[in-house]
Formats: sequence, structure tokens, C-alpha cells
Amino acid sequence: MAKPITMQDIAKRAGVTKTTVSLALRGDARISAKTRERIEELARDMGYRPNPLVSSLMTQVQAGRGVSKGTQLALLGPPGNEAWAMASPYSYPRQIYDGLRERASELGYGVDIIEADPAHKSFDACVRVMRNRGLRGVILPPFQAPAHYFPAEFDCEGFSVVAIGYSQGIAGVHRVAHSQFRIAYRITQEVLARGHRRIGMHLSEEMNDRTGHKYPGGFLGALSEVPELRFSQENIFYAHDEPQRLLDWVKDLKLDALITQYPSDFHILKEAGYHMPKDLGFVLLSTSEGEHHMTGCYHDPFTLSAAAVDLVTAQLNRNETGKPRFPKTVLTPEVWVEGETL
Amino acid sequence: MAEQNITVTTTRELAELAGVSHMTVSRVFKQPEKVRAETRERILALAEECGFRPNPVLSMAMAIRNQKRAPDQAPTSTMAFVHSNSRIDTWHSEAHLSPYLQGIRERAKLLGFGLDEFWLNPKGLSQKRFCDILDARGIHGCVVAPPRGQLQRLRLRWGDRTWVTFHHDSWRPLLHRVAKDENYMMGKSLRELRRLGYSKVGLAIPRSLDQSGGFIMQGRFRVAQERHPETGKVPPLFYAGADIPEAKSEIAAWLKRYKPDVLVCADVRAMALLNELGLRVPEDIGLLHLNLGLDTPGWSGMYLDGSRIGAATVDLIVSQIQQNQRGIPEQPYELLLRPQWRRGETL
Repeated sequence: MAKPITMQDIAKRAGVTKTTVSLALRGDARISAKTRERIEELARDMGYRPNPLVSSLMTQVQAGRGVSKGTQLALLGPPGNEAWAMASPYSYPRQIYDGLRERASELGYGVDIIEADPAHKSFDACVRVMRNRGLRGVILPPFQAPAHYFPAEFDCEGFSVVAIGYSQGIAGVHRVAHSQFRIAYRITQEVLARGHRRIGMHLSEEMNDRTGHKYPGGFLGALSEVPELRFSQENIFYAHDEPQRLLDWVKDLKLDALITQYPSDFHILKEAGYHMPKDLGFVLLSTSEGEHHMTGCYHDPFTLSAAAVDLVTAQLNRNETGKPRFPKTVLTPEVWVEGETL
Repeated sequence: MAEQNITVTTTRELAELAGVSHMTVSRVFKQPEKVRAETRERILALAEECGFRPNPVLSMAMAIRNQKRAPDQAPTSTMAFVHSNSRIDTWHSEAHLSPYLQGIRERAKLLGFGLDEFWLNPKGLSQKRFCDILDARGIHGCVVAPPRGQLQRLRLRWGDRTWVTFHHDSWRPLLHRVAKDENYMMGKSLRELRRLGYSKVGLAIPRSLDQSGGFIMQGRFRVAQERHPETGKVPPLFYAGADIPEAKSEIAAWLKRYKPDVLVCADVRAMALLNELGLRVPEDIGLLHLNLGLDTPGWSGMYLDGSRIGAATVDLIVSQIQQNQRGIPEQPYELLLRPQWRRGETL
């Protein structure tokens, strides 16, 4: 019976060392593109198949050794990205960054911050930097990208890309996010269970379009479970930074509970004389670390970051690069935070 | 004793401490029957004392290294596919389910895994016995097929293994799960119907289907109705029966009352019902199936090949094994795949 094909066999046939084969099959930038292609082709022809368990073992060995050059992940975003690492440890960006670093280092990777600033150097230059440094795993943190930040011709060729959230304005890549539908559904059910019947939701229109209407979907889905309630688009308010219109809307609809994306609504309503929860139940779709007196759902940035690292390293282990034919979305769980506002 | 403060990480170190050969220690873990009971007990006690545990991944990798056969003939290791339905052949013989298992088997094979099937069922294997077999065969990754119907609780020794399920979220504790992106599925269907100019869109699906998907389909449908009043306000119908024949009179009355110009459904028998009511498709009414399959050739609707779900399930297991994530996940992932739009002759 034939023995399985090993890297040694490929090396012998190709007339190179085993290390060259190993690096080439990992797509390491230290091996020329020409050699890489030749070895990939040879590996395919000879029926070489990497062993998933050996990769796993290597991950353990690598993790034990600590970070080595060439196994870095890129955190790619617009300028200001660098500040992520410096921000307060309780800020959302810093927690995303720390979460990425923590999970990456568990798996034997490090994280390099790459700032792409279309105003100063071309996006191409950044892509070149990543290639030269041998960075193949790319994570797009949740930043609000300027329009056309990612040039149309950026096809992720040679990179395994994972976006965190929906904000970067790039389509067709793998993504990790929170389960917005379930969050809105769960919150609305809880608000109903506590006896509220006149419920409103305050959202960012732009964000809602980008994320595929999941918050209103969960909201209307849960409300339609109570047949005697009549709800319409009016129960969802989209304007931001217009405190007077917000107050008018709450008053006109005689709301007894508000589900919102904006923590600032709490202060607007409080100043206008509302006592929460006595006059109005108040729930945040996404609470943050400093706001635990407000009731709502908390999404742990560490969980999101871990999922992004897991997804990108899984692509790297399978040697899957470029835009995927079938992009995947990984949703991570949230937790209910009982504050004092509902 | 000196051993108390020593942490032993290799079988060689353990052998040295026990004053036996390396081979003896190795046999204690691999072929215990070949070692005298007294020696075995002594080494196991010593291992326990020094915190030594064989590394499952390492053992497997060594087993692979030592094997001399080509991967096509002998898989390098094995995954489990766990059946839980009352009949074991469900995932083999039902046309809309078999692609899942096929996708799992093919992807596993491609990645060097064999696939053993197990049947957890009162009449089949007990949960304890099942875990014993997994231990004995050194199986580290398990796909747990979703049960039919209601939520169920599993009591397994989760231990050193990776677990993934697919489809709806019907196991407790929660496992990592691969599923269809139903929000996208509904949004995309309704976008296509708007583009085609339909103005009275009717949705009729079983209540149980909407419920097991967490009411995502209903929620997304209602959002579209609110945002696009031009597509009409036909109240969606969530019928109580499991299929269209069972809910026939309910659906017929709803069709008669609201006269939708297109029916969005998830049951192949919709066609027969419309014909029976004297409605021609697509002249009198359009028809869109949310879950196209082999039984709906030429229909319009959304298509997601079950084998893609199966393959993604295997990929998730393998990546979890590679990343050394085992046992019940603290943060269970929900991995979603998008179905594709297909324009057929029913619109």
C-alpha cells in the first residue's frame, strides 16, 4: 500500500528543502510567488493533503513558543487605528484590540496594526506592506470607514479577511457580529412581559440599512405575538441628535417603554422630567461597560474579537484566501444586564 | 515525597519517576491489558499525583505519523455523526435531509477524517455507552444532528471533545451551530418580489417553522410590510398544521379573503393546493418557495444546498480542534450561510 505523501516527498521532487515546501504551502511571503505556485501545483498533483491534527499540534507548539515572525495577523483600518492600542482599557476599541491580542496569542499569533490612509498613501501601498511582512490574516475592526475606503478593485487576493460588525462598507467577506435580531426580540419580549404595551424603538437609520433591518425585525416579530397590539412604522424613530423631535415622538405616542440604541436618550428624557422606570421603561440595545445602571443587552467585545480570530485562523489553516464564494457570518451571544431603568 | 511538587509532562519523565521503561508507561495508556494490573495501578496513581495527562491531540498525531497507509484507504482520524431521530435512516433516505450528511461525509473525507455514525435513542445507544465508545475510538469531534421537533436536553460527558450542531437551535446546553441566514433569505425574497412588481405579497408557513427559527421570518416580513406599503398588507398566515394538506381549509380561506398576487411558502404541496382551487401559477398567482430542493424543479425561490451546511459544520469542528477549543462552548457561535436566489417559472 502507498504511504501518504509528505512534505519531504514534495521537496525531493521539487529539488528544494522541506522548509521551503512548508513555507510555500503556507503562502509565506519569504518564498517567491513563482516558487510558491510551482510547489502548490506539485502538491496538488502528488495528492498531498495536510493533516488537520498535525496543524492542531503545530498550533499548540507555536503557542508554547510564543509569537514568531510571520505569524502575525493584521488589524487593518483607517488612521486613528493606532490609538486603539492606547485608548482607555474600558473603552470599546481598546477592548476589541485587547480581545484580539489575547485570543491571537493563545493560538500563537500576534497582531500588527496597519493604518491605511487613502489621503496620504494609496491603499495599494498598505496591501504591499502587508504582503511584505507576510501578513495574510486580516481583521477589519468595527470602524466607520470613509466612503470608498476599500477600493472596488481590492479583491482580498492572497488574504484571509474577517470583518467585525457591518460598519466597514466592504461586502462579500466573512464576518462576526452580534445577533441583533435575537437581541431586539428578547428585549421586546421582556418589556412586554413586564406589562408595557406602548413601546417605541429608537434607531440609527443608516445603521439599520447596513445591518439588514434586524433590530426592527426582532421588535415587530415579538410585538406581533400579542395580537391586540397595533403597531406600525411610527413606533420606530430614526432621527438622531434631534432631542426635541425625540421628546415629541415619545409624548405623541404616549410611550410607556423605550428601546434604544442611544445611551444619550436617557439624559435627554431625564432632563425633560421623565422618571425612569416610573414614567417610562428604558432599555438599551447595547449597554457598555460604564452604563450598567441602564437595563439592556451587553455584548462582550472580547467574545467578538475571539470569534474574529477563530474565524480568520481557521481560514489560514485551510489556506483559504481571497473573497470567499460563500461568505459566512458568525454571531456571538449577548447577556441580559438588569439595571435600574426598566 | 519529592514527586509532590513535580509536574510531569511527558511519558518519558513519568517512566523515569516510576522506575519503569518508557514502553511500559506508553502501554498503560494505549494497551493497558498488556501491563500487569499492579504496575498499571501504580503508574496511573503516580500520573494522577504529578498532574500528568496524555495530550489527546499529540497521541492522535503520533498515531497518524506511525501509520503506513495512504489517506484514501484509511482516514487519519474519525469524527462522529450523531443521529437522534426515532428512525436511524432519516438523514440517509429523506431527499431534503440526505445532502447534509453527504456534505459532512465528503468534507470530512477531504480533510482526512472518517465518519462514524451513532444513534442516540431510547431504543438505540445510551448516552453513557456512546461516550464510552467515543473515548475508546479516540473521537474528538462530533456533529450532533438536530432532533425533529421540540427542544431537547443532552446529558453527555462533553469533556475533551468538540461539538457542533446545525440547523435550528434545539439542543440544551447550547452548542456551536451552523444555520441558514433566514433574515437574509426573507429580505432577499421580498426584494425580488418588489422588483418584479408584485403588490399583494402573502406569506403562509407553518407556525412551528417560524417558531423554530426564532420568528426571524415573521419579523423580517413585517419590517418589509411597514417599509414598503406598495407591496400590500396581506396579514401573514402561520398555520397550525405541520403541512399544507393538514392546513388546507385554513389556507384556502385566507387566500380567498386576501387574494394575494404571490404566495411565499415552504411546502411543495402549495402547487397542488393552488391548482385545486382553480388558480394557475404564475398567471393567476405567483409562487415562491423559501427552501428549494430536488422536489421543486423549475420553481422560483431561495436555495441553500444542505451539503454546504454540512461542509461548514465539519470546517467548524476542525477549526475548533485546531484551536484546542473543547467541551461545551462558553460562547456558542451561530454560523450563518446565505441561501441563493433562483428565478424559475413560478413567478
